[in-house]
Amino acid sequence: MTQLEANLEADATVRNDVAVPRRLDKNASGRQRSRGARTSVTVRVIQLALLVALFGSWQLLAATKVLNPAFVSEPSQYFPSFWHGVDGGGLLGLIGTTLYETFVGFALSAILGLAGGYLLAEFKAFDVIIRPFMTGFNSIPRIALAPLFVLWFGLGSLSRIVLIVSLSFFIVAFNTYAGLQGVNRDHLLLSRVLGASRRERFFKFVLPSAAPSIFAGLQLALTYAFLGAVVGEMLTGSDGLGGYLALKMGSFDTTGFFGGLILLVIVALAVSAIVRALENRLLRWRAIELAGTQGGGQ
Amino acid sequence: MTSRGTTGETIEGPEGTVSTTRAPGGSVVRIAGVSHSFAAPDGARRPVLEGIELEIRRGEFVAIVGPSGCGKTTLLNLVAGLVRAEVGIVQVHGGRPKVGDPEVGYLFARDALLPWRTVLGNAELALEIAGVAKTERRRRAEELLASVGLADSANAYPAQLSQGMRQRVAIARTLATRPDLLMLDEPFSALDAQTKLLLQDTFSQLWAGLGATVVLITHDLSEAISLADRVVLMTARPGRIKRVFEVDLPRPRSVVTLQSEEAYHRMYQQLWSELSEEVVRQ
Repeated sequence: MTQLEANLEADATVRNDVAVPRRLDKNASGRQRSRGARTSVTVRVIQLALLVALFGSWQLLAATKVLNPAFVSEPSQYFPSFWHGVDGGGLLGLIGTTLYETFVGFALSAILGLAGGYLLAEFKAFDVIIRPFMTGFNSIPRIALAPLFVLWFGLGSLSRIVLIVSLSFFIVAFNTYAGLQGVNRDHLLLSRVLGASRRERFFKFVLPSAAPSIFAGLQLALTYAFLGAVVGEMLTGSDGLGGYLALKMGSFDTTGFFGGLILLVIVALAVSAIVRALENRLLRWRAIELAGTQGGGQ
Repeated sequence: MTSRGTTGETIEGPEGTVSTTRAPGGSVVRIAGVSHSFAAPDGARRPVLEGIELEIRRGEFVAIVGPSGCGKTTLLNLVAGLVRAEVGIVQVHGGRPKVGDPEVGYLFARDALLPWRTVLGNAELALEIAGVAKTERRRRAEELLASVGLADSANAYPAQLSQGMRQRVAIARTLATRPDLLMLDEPFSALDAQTKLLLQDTFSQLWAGLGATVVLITHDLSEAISLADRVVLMTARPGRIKRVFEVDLPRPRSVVTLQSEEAYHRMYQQLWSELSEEVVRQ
Protein backbone atom coordinates (compact mmCIF):
# COMPACT_ATOMS: atom_id res chain seq x y z
CA MET A 1 0.00 0.00 0.00
CA THR A 2 2.92 2.32 0.52
CA GLN A 3 3.65 2.06 -3.14
CA LEU A 4 0.05 3.00 -3.85
CA GLU A 5 0.36 6.05 -1.66
CA ALA A 6 3.55 7.04 -3.37
CA ASN A 7 1.95 6.80 -6.74
CA LEU A 8 -1.06 8.82 -5.60
CA GLU A 9 1.27 11.52 -4.49
CA ALA A 10 2.99 11.40 -7.83
CA ASP A 11 -0.38 11.73 -9.53
CA ALA A 12 -1.04 14.84 -7.50
CA THR A 13 2.18 16.42 -8.70
CA VAL A 14 1.72 15.25 -12.26
CA ARG A 15 -1.68 16.83 -12.69
CA ASN A 16 -0.31 20.19 -13.57
CA ASP A 17 -2.90 20.25 -16.34
CA VAL A 18 -5.74 21.28 -14.09
CA ALA A 19 -6.50 24.05 -11.68
CA VAL A 20 -8.07 21.76 -9.08
CA PRO A 21 -5.71 22.08 -6.18
CA ARG A 22 -6.04 25.83 -6.39
CA ARG A 23 -9.80 25.72 -6.46
CA LEU A 24 -10.08 23.16 -3.70
CA ASP A 25 -7.74 25.04 -1.41
CA LYS A 26 -9.86 26.98 1.07
CA ASN A 27 -7.38 29.80 1.65
CA ALA A 28 -6.95 30.44 -2.02
CA SER A 29 -10.68 30.53 -2.67
CA GLY A 30 -11.09 32.94 0.25
CA ARG A 31 -8.52 35.21 -1.29
CA GLN A 32 -10.23 34.99 -4.65
CA ARG A 33 -13.55 35.85 -3.07
CA SER A 34 -12.20 39.04 -1.52
CA ARG A 35 -10.73 40.03 -4.86
CA GLY A 36 -14.11 39.24 -6.41
CA ALA A 37 -15.83 41.47 -3.87
CA ARG A 38 -13.49 44.33 -4.71
CA THR A 39 -14.13 44.05 -8.46
CA SER A 40 -17.87 43.91 -7.84
CA VAL A 41 -17.66 47.16 -5.83
CA THR A 42 -15.79 48.77 -8.72
CA VAL A 43 -18.39 47.48 -11.15
CA ARG A 44 -21.22 48.86 -9.04
CA VAL A 45 -19.55 52.29 -8.83
CA ILE A 46 -19.14 52.41 -12.61
CA GLN A 47 -22.73 51.29 -13.12
CA LEU A 48 -24.00 53.97 -10.75
CA ALA A 49 -21.95 56.59 -12.60
CA LEU A 50 -23.50 55.45 -15.89
CA LEU A 51 -27.00 55.74 -14.43
CA VAL A 52 -26.27 59.23 -13.16
CA ALA A 53 -24.86 60.16 -16.57
CA LEU A 54 -27.94 58.78 -18.35
CA PHE A 55 -30.51 60.60 -16.23
CA GLY A 56 -28.31 63.70 -15.87
CA SER A 57 -27.94 64.15 -19.60
CA TRP A 58 -31.65 63.37 -20.07
CA GLN A 59 -32.48 66.09 -17.57
CA LEU A 60 -30.06 68.51 -19.21
CA LEU A 61 -31.31 67.88 -22.76
CA ALA A 62 -34.96 68.20 -21.69
CA ALA A 63 -34.37 71.32 -19.54
CA THR A 64 -32.51 73.05 -22.38
CA LYS A 65 -35.28 72.03 -24.80
CA VAL A 66 -32.86 70.19 -27.06
CA LEU A 67 -35.33 67.34 -26.63
CA ASN A 68 -39.00 68.22 -26.43
CA PRO A 69 -40.13 67.58 -22.79
CA ALA A 70 -43.62 66.88 -24.06
CA PHE A 71 -42.23 63.81 -25.81
CA VAL A 72 -39.52 62.64 -23.41
CA SER A 73 -40.68 64.22 -20.12
CA GLU A 74 -37.79 64.76 -17.69
CA PRO A 75 -36.36 62.83 -14.74
CA SER A 76 -37.12 65.59 -12.24
CA GLN A 77 -40.79 65.10 -13.11
CA TYR A 78 -41.25 61.40 -13.72
CA PHE A 79 -39.31 60.23 -10.65
CA PRO A 80 -41.71 62.14 -8.34
CA SER A 81 -44.61 60.89 -10.45
CA PHE A 82 -43.33 57.32 -9.92
CA TRP A 83 -43.01 57.95 -6.21
CA HIS A 84 -46.48 59.43 -5.83
CA GLY A 85 -47.88 56.53 -7.80
CA VAL A 86 -46.27 54.01 -5.49
CA ASP A 87 -46.97 55.97 -2.32
CA GLY A 88 -50.74 55.80 -2.27
CA GLY A 89 -51.32 56.58 -5.95
CA GLY A 90 -52.58 53.12 -6.83
CA LEU A 91 -49.56 51.91 -8.85
CA LEU A 92 -48.98 49.07 -6.40
CA GLY A 93 -52.48 47.75 -6.90
CA LEU A 94 -51.99 47.90 -10.66
CA ILE A 95 -48.66 46.09 -10.60
CA GLY A 96 -50.34 43.56 -8.28
CA THR A 97 -52.83 42.74 -11.01
CA THR A 98 -50.05 42.47 -13.59
CA LEU A 99 -47.98 40.19 -11.36
CA TYR A 100 -51.02 38.04 -10.60
CA GLU A 101 -51.62 37.49 -14.32
CA THR A 102 -47.91 36.91 -14.91
CA PHE A 103 -47.55 34.27 -12.22
CA VAL A 104 -50.79 32.42 -12.87
CA GLY A 105 -50.01 32.37 -16.59
CA PHE A 106 -46.44 31.33 -15.92
CA ALA A 107 -47.43 28.58 -13.49
CA LEU A 108 -49.92 27.12 -15.97
CA SER A 109 -47.34 27.33 -18.77
CA ALA A 110 -44.75 25.64 -16.58
CA ILE A 111 -47.02 22.75 -15.57
CA LEU A 112 -48.42 22.20 -19.06
CA GLY A 113 -45.03 22.79 -20.72
CA LEU A 114 -43.20 20.32 -18.49
CA ALA A 115 -45.88 17.71 -19.09
CA GLY A 116 -45.91 18.42 -22.82
CA GLY A 117 -42.12 18.27 -23.11
CA TYR A 118 -42.08 15.02 -21.17
CA LEU A 119 -44.71 13.44 -23.43
CA LEU A 120 -42.84 14.55 -26.56
CA ALA A 121 -39.56 13.14 -25.30
CA GLU A 122 -40.93 9.93 -23.86
CA PHE A 123 -43.54 8.86 -26.42
CA LYS A 124 -42.43 8.60 -30.01
CA ALA A 125 -45.99 8.59 -31.38
CA PHE A 126 -46.82 11.77 -29.52
CA ASP A 127 -43.68 13.40 -30.88
CA VAL A 128 -44.37 12.38 -34.48
CA ILE A 129 -48.06 13.27 -34.50
CA ILE A 130 -48.29 16.31 -32.23
CA ARG A 131 -45.01 18.17 -32.62
CA PRO A 132 -45.69 19.53 -36.14
CA PHE A 133 -48.90 21.09 -34.80
CA MET A 134 -47.01 22.63 -31.91
CA THR A 135 -44.31 24.00 -34.19
CA GLY A 136 -46.99 25.41 -36.47
CA PHE A 137 -48.92 27.10 -33.70
CA ASN A 138 -45.71 28.41 -32.17
CA SER A 139 -44.85 30.17 -35.43
CA ILE A 140 -48.00 32.33 -35.24
CA PRO A 141 -47.20 35.75 -33.75
CA ARG A 142 -49.38 35.27 -30.67
CA ILE A 143 -49.65 38.98 -29.91
CA ALA A 144 -51.77 39.21 -33.05
CA LEU A 145 -54.20 36.78 -31.43
CA ALA A 146 -54.62 38.97 -28.37
CA PRO A 147 -57.78 40.73 -29.67
CA LEU A 148 -59.27 37.30 -30.39
CA PHE A 149 -58.55 36.22 -26.83
CA VAL A 150 -60.25 39.38 -25.56
CA LEU A 151 -63.28 38.54 -27.69
CA TRP A 152 -63.38 34.99 -26.33
CA PHE A 153 -62.35 35.51 -22.73
CA GLY A 154 -63.39 39.07 -21.99
CA LEU A 155 -61.61 42.20 -20.81
CA GLY A 156 -60.52 40.69 -17.48
CA SER A 157 -57.37 38.88 -16.45
CA LEU A 158 -58.42 35.60 -18.06
CA SER A 159 -57.73 36.81 -21.61
CA ARG A 160 -54.21 37.88 -20.53
CA ILE A 161 -53.56 34.55 -18.83
CA VAL A 162 -54.58 32.74 -22.02
CA LEU A 163 -52.28 34.99 -24.03
CA ILE A 164 -49.40 34.23 -21.64
CA VAL A 165 -49.99 30.49 -21.83
CA SER A 166 -50.11 30.68 -25.63
CA LEU A 167 -46.66 32.31 -25.54
CA SER A 168 -44.91 30.55 -22.66
CA PHE A 169 -46.20 27.00 -22.92
CA PHE A 170 -44.22 26.30 -26.08
CA ILE A 171 -41.01 27.71 -24.67
CA VAL A 172 -41.18 25.43 -21.64
CA ALA A 173 -42.33 22.43 -23.67
CA PHE A 174 -39.61 22.69 -26.34
CA ASN A 175 -36.85 23.36 -23.82
CA THR A 176 -37.97 20.44 -21.67
CA TYR A 177 -38.12 18.24 -24.75
CA ALA A 178 -34.64 19.30 -25.88
CA GLY A 179 -33.24 18.78 -22.39
CA LEU A 180 -34.71 15.32 -22.01
CA GLN A 181 -33.47 14.35 -25.48
CA GLY A 182 -29.98 15.62 -24.91
CA VAL A 183 -28.92 13.07 -22.34
CA ASN A 184 -25.30 11.99 -22.60
CA ARG A 185 -25.13 8.56 -24.25
CA ASP A 186 -22.43 7.45 -21.84
CA HIS A 187 -24.77 8.19 -18.96
CA LEU A 188 -27.53 6.14 -20.56
CA LEU A 189 -25.15 3.25 -21.10
CA LEU A 190 -24.06 3.54 -17.48
CA SER A 191 -27.68 3.49 -16.30
CA ARG A 192 -28.19 0.31 -18.31
CA VAL A 193 -25.16 -1.56 -17.04
CA LEU A 194 -25.89 -0.52 -13.47
CA GLY A 195 -29.32 -2.06 -13.86
CA ALA A 196 -31.30 1.15 -13.26
CA SER A 197 -35.08 0.82 -13.48
CA ARG A 198 -37.04 3.05 -15.87
CA ARG A 199 -37.92 5.28 -12.96
CA GLU A 200 -34.32 5.48 -11.71
CA ARG A 201 -33.08 6.18 -15.20
CA PHE A 202 -35.46 9.13 -15.45
CA PHE A 203 -34.88 10.62 -12.02
CA LYS A 204 -31.16 9.91 -11.57
CA PHE A 205 -29.88 10.35 -15.12
CA VAL A 206 -32.31 12.01 -17.53
CA LEU A 207 -34.00 14.69 -15.43
CA PRO A 208 -30.87 16.13 -13.75
CA SER A 209 -29.15 16.33 -17.12
CA ALA A 210 -32.17 18.15 -18.57
CA ALA A 211 -32.37 20.56 -15.63
CA PRO A 212 -30.24 23.38 -17.11
CA SER A 213 -32.21 23.38 -20.35
CA ILE A 214 -35.55 23.21 -18.49
CA PHE A 215 -34.45 26.02 -16.23
CA ALA A 216 -33.43 28.18 -19.19
CA GLY A 217 -36.87 27.55 -20.68
CA LEU A 218 -38.63 28.55 -17.47
CA GLN A 219 -36.59 31.73 -17.25
CA LEU A 220 -37.47 32.74 -20.79
CA ALA A 221 -41.10 31.76 -20.22
CA LEU A 222 -41.26 34.07 -17.23
CA THR A 223 -39.97 36.97 -19.33
CA TYR A 224 -42.60 36.24 -21.95
CA ALA A 225 -45.29 35.91 -19.29
CA PHE A 226 -44.48 39.40 -18.06
CA LEU A 227 -44.48 40.69 -21.62
CA GLY A 228 -47.81 38.98 -22.35
CA ALA A 229 -49.44 40.45 -19.26
CA VAL A 230 -48.33 44.02 -19.98
CA VAL A 231 -49.07 43.93 -23.71
CA GLY A 232 -52.45 42.29 -23.10
CA GLU A 233 -53.35 44.99 -20.59
CA MET A 234 -52.23 47.76 -22.93
CA LEU A 235 -54.45 46.34 -25.63
CA THR A 236 -57.60 46.39 -23.56
CA GLY A 237 -56.42 49.47 -21.70
CA SER A 238 -58.51 48.50 -18.74
CA ASP A 239 -56.45 46.98 -16.01
CA GLY A 240 -52.98 46.48 -14.51
CA LEU A 241 -49.83 48.45 -15.15
CA GLY A 242 -50.16 47.90 -18.90
CA GLY A 243 -53.58 49.52 -18.80
CA TYR A 244 -52.16 52.41 -16.83
CA LEU A 245 -49.37 52.91 -19.39
CA ALA A 246 -51.84 52.80 -22.29
CA LEU A 247 -54.06 55.33 -20.51
CA LYS A 248 -51.15 57.72 -19.86
CA MET A 249 -49.96 57.42 -23.46
CA GLY A 250 -53.49 57.98 -24.74
CA SER A 251 -53.73 61.21 -22.77
CA PHE A 252 -50.25 62.25 -23.88
CA ASP A 253 -49.01 62.19 -20.27
CA THR A 254 -45.40 61.12 -20.89
CA THR A 255 -44.45 61.94 -17.30
CA GLY A 256 -47.02 59.48 -15.97
CA PHE A 257 -45.95 56.96 -18.62
CA PHE A 258 -42.27 57.04 -17.63
CA GLY A 259 -43.25 56.95 -13.94
CA GLY A 260 -45.10 53.68 -14.56
CA LEU A 261 -42.26 52.38 -16.69
CA ILE A 262 -39.80 52.82 -13.79
CA LEU A 263 -41.93 50.55 -11.62
CA LEU A 264 -42.09 48.01 -14.45
CA VAL A 265 -38.31 47.98 -14.79
CA ILE A 266 -37.76 47.63 -11.03
CA VAL A 267 -40.20 44.72 -10.75
CA ALA A 268 -38.76 42.96 -13.80
CA LEU A 269 -35.22 43.29 -12.42
CA ALA A 270 -36.32 41.99 -9.02
CA VAL A 271 -38.04 38.96 -10.54
CA SER A 272 -35.05 38.09 -12.70
CA ALA A 273 -32.71 38.47 -9.70
CA ILE A 274 -34.84 36.01 -7.72
CA VAL A 275 -34.79 33.54 -10.60
CA ARG A 276 -31.02 33.87 -10.95
CA ALA A 277 -30.50 33.31 -7.22
CA LEU A 278 -32.69 30.22 -7.47
CA GLU A 279 -30.67 28.97 -10.42
CA ASN A 280 -27.36 29.43 -8.61
CA ARG A 281 -28.76 27.43 -5.73
CA LEU A 282 -30.31 24.61 -7.71
CA LEU A 283 -27.70 24.32 -10.44
CA ARG A 284 -24.51 25.00 -8.53
CA TRP A 285 -22.76 22.15 -10.33
CA ARG A 286 -23.50 23.84 -13.63
CA ALA A 287 -21.89 27.09 -12.52
CA ILE A 288 -18.82 25.17 -11.38
CA GLU A 289 -18.70 23.31 -14.67
CA LEU A 290 -18.89 26.50 -16.71
CA ALA A 291 -16.26 28.19 -14.54
CA GLY A 292 -14.07 25.10 -14.92
CA THR A 293 -14.01 25.30 -18.70
CA GLN A 294 -12.49 28.77 -18.48
CA GLY A 295 -9.94 27.90 -15.81
CA GLY A 296 -7.40 26.10 -17.99
CA GLY A 297 -7.72 22.33 -17.86
CA GLN A 298 -7.89 20.47 -21.12
CA MET B 1 -3.09 -20.63 -12.69
CA THR B 2 -2.02 -23.28 -15.13
CA SER B 3 1.43 -24.67 -14.85
CA ARG B 4 3.89 -23.39 -17.34
CA GLY B 5 7.54 -23.34 -18.17
CA THR B 6 10.13 -21.05 -16.68
CA THR B 7 10.97 -19.38 -19.95
CA GLY B 8 8.73 -16.45 -19.25
CA GLU B 9 5.88 -17.13 -21.63
CA THR B 10 3.99 -20.02 -23.00
CA ILE B 11 2.21 -19.79 -26.25
CA GLU B 12 -0.88 -21.84 -26.78
CA GLY B 13 -3.26 -22.13 -29.66
CA PRO B 14 -6.76 -20.91 -28.96
CA GLU B 15 -8.34 -24.36 -29.22
CA GLY B 16 -5.92 -25.85 -26.74
CA THR B 17 -6.58 -23.16 -24.19
CA VAL B 18 -10.30 -23.59 -24.22
CA SER B 19 -10.47 -27.27 -23.46
CA THR B 20 -7.69 -27.51 -20.93
CA THR B 21 -8.16 -24.50 -18.71
CA ARG B 22 -10.86 -25.44 -16.24
CA ALA B 23 -9.57 -24.15 -12.97
CA PRO B 24 -10.98 -25.36 -9.62
CA GLY B 25 -13.26 -22.35 -9.31
CA GLY B 26 -14.75 -23.07 -12.71
CA SER B 27 -15.04 -20.54 -15.46
CA VAL B 28 -16.65 -17.18 -14.86
CA VAL B 29 -17.02 -16.44 -18.56
CA ARG B 30 -17.54 -19.06 -21.22
CA ILE B 31 -17.67 -18.16 -24.87
CA ALA B 32 -18.21 -21.11 -27.20
CA GLY B 33 -18.48 -21.05 -30.98
CA VAL B 34 -19.57 -17.44 -31.07
CA SER B 35 -19.98 -15.62 -34.35
CA HIS B 36 -21.66 -12.31 -34.85
CA SER B 37 -22.38 -9.87 -37.67
CA PHE B 38 -23.81 -6.42 -38.15
CA ALA B 39 -26.01 -5.05 -40.91
CA ALA B 40 -23.97 -2.97 -43.36
CA PRO B 41 -25.52 0.18 -44.86
CA ASP B 42 -26.23 -1.73 -48.10
CA GLY B 43 -28.31 -4.26 -46.20
CA ALA B 44 -25.79 -7.10 -46.31
CA ARG B 45 -24.55 -8.78 -43.13
CA ARG B 46 -21.00 -7.94 -42.23
CA PRO B 47 -19.28 -10.48 -39.98
CA VAL B 48 -17.45 -8.99 -36.99
CA LEU B 49 -16.68 -12.07 -34.92
CA GLU B 50 -16.04 -15.61 -36.09
CA GLY B 51 -15.76 -18.83 -34.10
CA ILE B 52 -14.69 -17.32 -30.80
CA GLU B 53 -13.79 -19.87 -28.14
CA LEU B 54 -12.68 -18.52 -24.79
CA GLU B 55 -12.99 -19.45 -21.17
CA ILE B 56 -12.01 -17.14 -18.37
CA ARG B 57 -11.28 -18.64 -15.00
CA ARG B 58 -12.26 -17.23 -11.64
CA GLY B 59 -9.81 -14.57 -10.53
CA GLU B 60 -8.07 -14.43 -13.87
CA PHE B 61 -7.04 -11.21 -15.59
CA VAL B 62 -7.49 -11.49 -19.34
CA ALA B 63 -6.57 -8.78 -21.81
CA ILE B 64 -7.97 -8.76 -25.32
CA VAL B 65 -5.95 -6.95 -27.98
CA GLY B 66 -6.42 -6.62 -31.70
CA PRO B 67 -6.49 -4.14 -34.56
CA SER B 68 -9.21 -1.48 -34.60
CA GLY B 69 -12.56 -2.79 -35.71
CA CYS B 70 -11.73 -6.41 -34.92
CA GLY B 71 -14.80 -6.77 -32.74
CA LYS B 72 -13.15 -6.45 -29.32
CA THR B 73 -15.85 -4.19 -27.98
CA THR B 74 -18.56 -6.33 -29.57
CA LEU B 75 -17.10 -9.27 -27.70
CA LEU B 76 -17.27 -7.32 -24.46
CA ASN B 77 -20.85 -6.27 -25.22
CA LEU B 78 -21.77 -9.91 -25.75
CA VAL B 79 -20.38 -10.82 -22.35
CA ALA B 80 -22.12 -7.77 -20.86
CA GLY B 81 -25.43 -8.92 -22.29
CA LEU B 82 -25.81 -5.65 -24.19
CA VAL B 83 -25.80 -7.63 -27.44
CA ARG B 84 -27.06 -11.19 -28.01
CA ALA B 85 -24.76 -13.48 -29.98
CA GLU B 86 -26.17 -14.60 -33.34
CA VAL B 87 -24.37 -17.92 -33.20
CA GLY B 88 -22.85 -19.75 -30.25
CA ILE B 89 -23.04 -19.61 -26.49
CA VAL B 90 -22.00 -16.88 -24.08
CA GLN B 91 -22.25 -17.64 -20.40
CA VAL B 92 -21.42 -15.59 -17.32
CA HIS B 93 -21.42 -17.37 -13.98
CA GLY B 94 -22.94 -20.33 -15.76
CA GLY B 95 -25.99 -18.46 -17.03
CA ARG B 96 -27.01 -16.13 -19.81
CA PRO B 97 -25.36 -12.70 -19.33
CA LYS B 98 -27.82 -10.15 -18.00
CA VAL B 99 -27.49 -6.39 -18.21
CA GLY B 100 -27.42 -4.71 -14.82
CA ASP B 101 -26.05 -7.72 -12.94
CA PRO B 102 -24.59 -6.26 -9.71
CA GLU B 103 -21.95 -9.01 -9.77
CA VAL B 104 -20.51 -7.44 -12.91
CA GLY B 105 -18.73 -4.09 -12.90
CA TYR B 106 -17.86 -1.89 -15.89
CA LEU B 107 -15.24 0.69 -16.54
CA PHE B 108 -15.21 2.63 -19.81
CA ALA B 109 -12.69 4.85 -21.51
CA ARG B 110 -14.89 7.82 -20.73
CA ASP B 111 -15.63 8.07 -17.04
CA ALA B 112 -19.37 8.82 -17.48
CA LEU B 113 -19.39 10.70 -14.17
CA LEU B 114 -22.62 12.58 -13.50
CA PRO B 115 -21.61 16.26 -13.40
CA TRP B 116 -24.44 17.17 -11.02
CA ARG B 117 -23.23 14.76 -8.37
CA THR B 118 -20.26 15.30 -6.12
CA VAL B 119 -17.37 12.86 -6.15
CA LEU B 120 -18.97 11.03 -3.22
CA GLY B 121 -22.36 11.03 -4.94
CA ASN B 122 -20.81 9.50 -8.04
CA ALA B 123 -18.97 6.88 -6.04
CA GLU B 124 -22.28 5.96 -4.37
CA LEU B 125 -24.26 5.74 -7.60
CA ALA B 126 -23.90 2.03 -8.31
CA LEU B 127 -24.64 1.17 -4.67
CA GLU B 128 -27.71 3.39 -4.73
CA ILE B 129 -29.10 1.58 -7.75
CA ALA B 130 -28.21 -1.77 -6.21
CA GLY B 131 -30.41 -0.75 -3.26
CA VAL B 132 -27.73 -0.56 -0.58
CA ALA B 133 -28.86 1.35 2.54
CA LYS B 134 -27.75 4.95 2.85
CA THR B 135 -25.26 4.72 5.73
CA GLU B 136 -23.73 1.55 4.34
CA ARG B 137 -23.26 2.97 0.84
CA ARG B 138 -21.76 6.14 2.21
CA ARG B 139 -19.31 4.14 4.27
CA ARG B 140 -18.30 1.96 1.33
CA ALA B 141 -18.02 4.87 -1.08
CA GLU B 142 -15.83 6.80 1.33
CA GLU B 143 -13.66 3.77 1.88
CA LEU B 144 -13.16 3.30 -1.85
CA LEU B 145 -12.49 6.97 -2.46
CA ALA B 146 -9.79 6.75 0.18
CA SER B 147 -8.28 3.72 -1.54
CA VAL B 148 -8.07 5.58 -4.86
CA GLY B 149 -6.61 8.60 -3.04
CA LEU B 150 -9.59 10.94 -3.31
CA ALA B 151 -10.78 11.10 0.30
CA ASP B 152 -10.13 14.85 0.35
CA SER B 153 -12.11 15.55 -2.80
CA ALA B 154 -15.34 13.83 -1.75
CA ASN B 155 -17.35 17.03 -1.93
CA ALA B 156 -15.85 18.36 -5.16
CA TYR B 157 -17.74 18.20 -8.44
CA PRO B 158 -16.34 16.24 -11.40
CA ALA B 159 -15.66 19.48 -13.29
CA GLN B 160 -13.14 20.38 -10.60
CA LEU B 161 -11.08 17.24 -11.16
CA SER B 162 -8.33 16.31 -13.57
CA GLN B 163 -8.93 13.54 -16.09
CA GLY B 164 -6.94 11.09 -13.98
CA MET B 165 -8.86 11.95 -10.83
CA ARG B 166 -12.15 11.56 -12.69
CA GLN B 167 -11.19 8.09 -13.82
CA ARG B 168 -10.25 7.27 -10.22
CA VAL B 169 -13.80 8.20 -9.20
CA ALA B 170 -15.11 5.93 -11.95
CA ILE B 171 -12.93 3.13 -10.58
CA ALA B 172 -14.35 3.74 -7.09
CA ARG B 173 -17.90 3.69 -8.51
CA THR B 174 -17.19 0.43 -10.33
CA LEU B 175 -15.58 -1.35 -7.39
CA ALA B 176 -18.10 -0.10 -4.80
CA THR B 177 -20.56 -2.92 -5.47
CA ARG B 178 -17.73 -5.45 -5.03
CA PRO B 179 -18.29 -7.04 -8.42
CA ASP B 180 -16.99 -10.49 -9.05
CA LEU B 181 -16.36 -9.83 -12.73
CA LEU B 182 -14.88 -6.60 -14.05
CA MET B 183 -15.23 -5.52 -17.66
CA LEU B 184 -12.79 -2.83 -18.71
CA ASP B 185 -13.22 -1.22 -22.12
CA GLU B 186 -10.00 0.70 -22.75
CA PRO B 187 -10.28 2.32 -19.32
CA PHE B 188 -6.98 4.19 -19.50
CA SER B 189 -6.96 5.17 -23.16
CA ALA B 190 -8.27 8.70 -22.61
CA LEU B 191 -5.51 9.61 -20.17
CA ASP B 192 -2.18 11.28 -20.78
CA ALA B 193 0.88 9.02 -20.69
CA GLN B 194 2.01 9.75 -17.14
CA THR B 195 -1.42 9.61 -15.54
CA LYS B 196 -2.01 6.38 -17.41
CA LEU B 197 1.03 4.70 -15.84
CA LEU B 198 -0.01 5.78 -12.36
CA LEU B 199 -3.58 4.65 -12.79
CA GLN B 200 -2.56 1.29 -14.24
CA ASP B 201 -0.48 0.67 -11.13
CA THR B 202 -3.26 1.84 -8.82
CA PHE B 203 -5.71 -0.44 -10.53
CA SER B 204 -3.30 -3.36 -10.50
CA GLN B 205 -2.83 -2.98 -6.74
CA LEU B 206 -6.54 -2.64 -6.03
CA TRP B 207 -7.22 -5.70 -8.15
CA ALA B 208 -4.67 -7.72 -6.22
CA GLY B 209 -6.72 -7.14 -3.09
CA LEU B 210 -10.04 -7.99 -4.73
CA GLY B 211 -9.57 -11.29 -6.46
CA ALA B 212 -12.11 -10.32 -9.12
CA THR B 213 -12.04 -11.74 -12.61
CA VAL B 214 -11.12 -9.09 -15.17
CA VAL B 215 -11.65 -8.77 -18.91
CA LEU B 216 -9.66 -5.85 -20.29
CA ILE B 217 -10.06 -4.55 -23.82
CA THR B 218 -7.06 -2.49 -24.87
CA HIS B 219 -4.99 -1.17 -27.74
CA ASP B 220 -2.00 -0.82 -25.55
CA LEU B 221 0.28 -3.86 -25.62
CA SER B 222 2.39 -2.83 -22.64
CA GLU B 223 -0.80 -2.33 -20.64
CA ALA B 224 -2.00 -5.80 -21.64
CA ILE B 225 1.28 -7.50 -20.73
CA SER B 226 1.84 -5.68 -17.47
CA LEU B 227 -1.68 -6.19 -16.12
CA ALA B 228 -2.93 -9.50 -17.50
CA ASP B 229 -2.42 -13.20 -16.84
CA ARG B 230 -3.34 -13.97 -20.43
CA VAL B 231 -3.37 -11.84 -23.52
CA VAL B 232 -5.84 -12.82 -26.23
CA LEU B 233 -4.75 -11.58 -29.64
CA MET B 234 -7.47 -11.15 -32.25
CA THR B 235 -7.23 -11.02 -36.03
CA ALA B 236 -8.45 -8.21 -38.25
CA ARG B 237 -12.15 -8.19 -39.03
CA PRO B 238 -13.90 -10.55 -38.87
CA GLY B 239 -12.27 -11.07 -35.48
CA ARG B 240 -11.03 -14.52 -34.65
CA ILE B 241 -8.73 -15.48 -31.82
CA LYS B 242 -5.32 -15.66 -33.40
CA ARG B 243 -3.29 -16.60 -30.39
CA VAL B 244 -3.40 -16.63 -26.61
CA PHE B 245 -0.27 -15.57 -24.73
CA GLU B 246 0.28 -16.58 -21.14
CA VAL B 247 2.02 -13.81 -19.26
CA ASP B 248 4.27 -15.44 -16.73
CA LEU B 249 5.78 -12.40 -15.12
CA PRO B 250 5.90 -12.39 -11.31
CA ARG B 251 3.38 -10.33 -9.36
CA PRO B 252 3.07 -7.81 -7.91
CA ARG B 253 4.08 -6.07 -11.09
CA SER B 254 4.58 -2.42 -11.74
CA VAL B 255 4.09 -1.07 -15.22
CA VAL B 256 7.20 1.04 -14.86
CA THR B 257 9.59 -1.47 -13.32
CA LEU B 258 8.60 -4.10 -15.89
CA GLN B 259 10.41 -1.97 -18.44
CA SER B 260 13.69 -3.41 -17.21
CA GLU B 261 12.57 -7.05 -17.54
CA GLU B 262 13.87 -8.86 -20.56
CA ALA B 263 10.92 -11.27 -20.62
CA TYR B 264 8.57 -8.34 -20.87
CA HIS B 265 10.32 -7.01 -23.95
CA ARG B 266 10.42 -10.40 -25.64
CA MET B 267 6.71 -10.79 -25.12
CA TYR B 268 6.05 -7.29 -26.34
CA GLN B 269 7.96 -7.94 -29.54
CA GLN B 270 6.25 -11.23 -30.15
CA LEU B 271 2.83 -9.71 -29.59
CA TRP B 272 3.61 -6.78 -31.78
CA SER B 273 4.93 -8.85 -34.67
CA GLU B 274 1.76 -10.92 -34.65
CA LEU B 275 -0.50 -7.92 -34.19
CA SER B 276 1.20 -5.84 -36.87
CA GLU B 277 0.44 -8.56 -39.46
CA GLU B 278 -3.22 -8.01 -38.66
CA VAL B 279 -3.00 -4.26 -38.67
CA VAL B 280 -1.36 -4.36 -42.11
CA ARG B 281 -3.98 -6.78 -43.42
CA GLN B 282 -6.76 -4.30 -42.79
